[in-house]
Amino acid sequence: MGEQRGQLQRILYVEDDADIRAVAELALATVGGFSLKSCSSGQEALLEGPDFAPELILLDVMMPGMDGPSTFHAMQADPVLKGVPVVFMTAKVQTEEVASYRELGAVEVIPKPFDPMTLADQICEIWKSKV
Amino acid sequence: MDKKVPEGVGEKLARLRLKFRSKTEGELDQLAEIASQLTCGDQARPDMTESIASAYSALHRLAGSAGTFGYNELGDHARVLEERLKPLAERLSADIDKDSDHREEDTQQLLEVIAEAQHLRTLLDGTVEPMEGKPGHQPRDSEQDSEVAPDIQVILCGLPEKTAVFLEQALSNYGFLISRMDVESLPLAEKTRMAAVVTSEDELARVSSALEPSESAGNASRPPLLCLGRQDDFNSRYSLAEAGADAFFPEPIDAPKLAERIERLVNDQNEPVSGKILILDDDEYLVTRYCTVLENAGFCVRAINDPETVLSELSEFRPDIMLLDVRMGAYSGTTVAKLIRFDPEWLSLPIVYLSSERDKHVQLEALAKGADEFITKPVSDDYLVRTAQIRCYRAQQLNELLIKDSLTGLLKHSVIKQEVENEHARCQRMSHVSSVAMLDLDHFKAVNDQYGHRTGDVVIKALSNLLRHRLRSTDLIGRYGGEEFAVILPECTTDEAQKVLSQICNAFADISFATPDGDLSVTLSAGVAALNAFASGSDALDAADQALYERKTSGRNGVTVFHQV
Repeated sequence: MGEQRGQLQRILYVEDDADIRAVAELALATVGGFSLKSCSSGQEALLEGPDFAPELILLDVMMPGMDGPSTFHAMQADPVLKGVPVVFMTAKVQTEEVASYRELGAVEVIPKPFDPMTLADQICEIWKSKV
Repeated sequence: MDKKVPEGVGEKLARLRLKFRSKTEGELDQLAEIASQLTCGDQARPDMTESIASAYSALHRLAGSAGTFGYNELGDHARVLEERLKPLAERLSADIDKDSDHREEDTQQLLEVIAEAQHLRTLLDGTVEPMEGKPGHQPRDSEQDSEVAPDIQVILCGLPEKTAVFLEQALSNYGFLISRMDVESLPLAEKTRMAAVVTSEDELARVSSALEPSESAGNASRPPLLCLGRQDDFNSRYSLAEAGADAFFPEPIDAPKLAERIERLVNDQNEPVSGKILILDDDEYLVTRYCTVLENAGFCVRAINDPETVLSELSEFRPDIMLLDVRMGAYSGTTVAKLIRFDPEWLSLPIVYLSSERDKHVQLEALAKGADEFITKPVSDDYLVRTAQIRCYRAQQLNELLIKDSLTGLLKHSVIKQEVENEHARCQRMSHVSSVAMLDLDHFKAVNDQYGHRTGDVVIKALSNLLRHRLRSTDLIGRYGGEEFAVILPECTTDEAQKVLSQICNAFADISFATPDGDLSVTLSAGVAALNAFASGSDALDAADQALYERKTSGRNGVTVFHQV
């Protein structure tokens, strides 16, 4: 995994549901104090993600069109996004499923629904222990 | 991680919560729409696959998001449904043209799951927003709901498809919230107090036992269980009663009666039994004690020591039951009971003797003189309260039958007329302003002729419910004639009365009744008069009737206030 560079700052967040995006923005930017770039689709993330140069990528699994795993694969072809640690978010938390995302290369899987008041802490924890 | 939460976050979250809520309300309505389409007979297959896919993705979204916004129960329930729908949805989209036997079964299961999804809306409606950060205005949607929407939830469980569809249709006209559920998910159902379950005789035992666990969880009683069945004889009724049914309806089902019964059962369960008790006993110490015990149990109690005042106290206090000491100095309680029965008005008043008499034969003799029960002194507090509750409950039930119209549950003609006089007297005494109104359904004869009397009854019942929901609990509503209603609005000016009745007229005109011959809406006319401005209550009623007539001749659908010419 990548070297640890102290405090996590820049997060790229991909989620198709506008309501959830709004809460997550609140949870990560306002509560967590991260610098957040949020995108509504995998395509958008691939287009705008590289310029943002995220340190961590949060990916929703189930999205229409390009889902989380395929976005993840596509990102591995991008010189900037390649190798950036990815955390999946999913409403399905069966063990096999989590294992399959890990195999894919995700550092962690966050179950949905998440608690907006503790999401930032959860991310910090992951950043400290897994990355 | 003991960071302090930045200011304004709570408020922003609350706003997002509301936004999510209103959006989800729309989605759930759509889901319900899909469900009702799918459950209403034969749908073209490709459509169905698509509908199921969209229902599935809506459930998935809710499972993942509702909890984030604090709607945990909704999210959990959506997840259960999603998981049940998943394998079926996948199979259905995979083998579109194969194995139709198999699919028939799948389809049935799918329909059940989706039908249950309709229940989610109830869960959402039942979640109260925390006060913190709640914007000042009420969201329009929910306001509208709470106005016309009913408070009783009816769960259809274990019914044949056809019956369920029929009931959904028939009962929703009475303003109930209907949801379908299978037996497995009954224990998952939100524990709302205002609910009833309707099932079939085949599933009664399972449904009844599925409802049981809620009993062990705290002291909450299970919802009333109504059972539909084919057999109508003593033995089948007996076994249904034994299996836990609270009411039985043989097929074909009389929907208005069923609706009325549901309402009564749910209300009975939720209204704590209380009532007015008159005590006549010459032992002052005992009387004080009875009063304290019964008042603590929620009764309204009046006690007298002197038998000579009993008749005037009865007329003024109008108790539900009376507790009567058998031996009071020179007077005998049994003779007092007999004397009370002289007056036909008090023939049905339950009288309970309080006595230290233990001889069963003497007790029986005393009862024969005109009382209903014997409580032997010394009486335990608990026993006294239970007896009073049971007696009051029965007395009120019987009284309801006597004074209320059986179709609508509103006051009968003679009762509302008497109440108008009573309120008129109160106006004189307290010099306040009250209004009285006459209401009449427009062109109601045509409704009966064209759509049948059953539909007519549904319309009348719907108006009764609307009046009950919209008016204050202190207002009195009576069914004056076939499609005519009288309303007493105490301490209410004619302007205020006109305003509230106009709103009711508008709301009623908006209700669409589904009938086999197409949708139907009915309007309403009303006339209002100031009760205090007339010499008698019946004069005021006549004036209201005249105003109603004016409204009828000048376009109907609205409210006219009586003006002296």
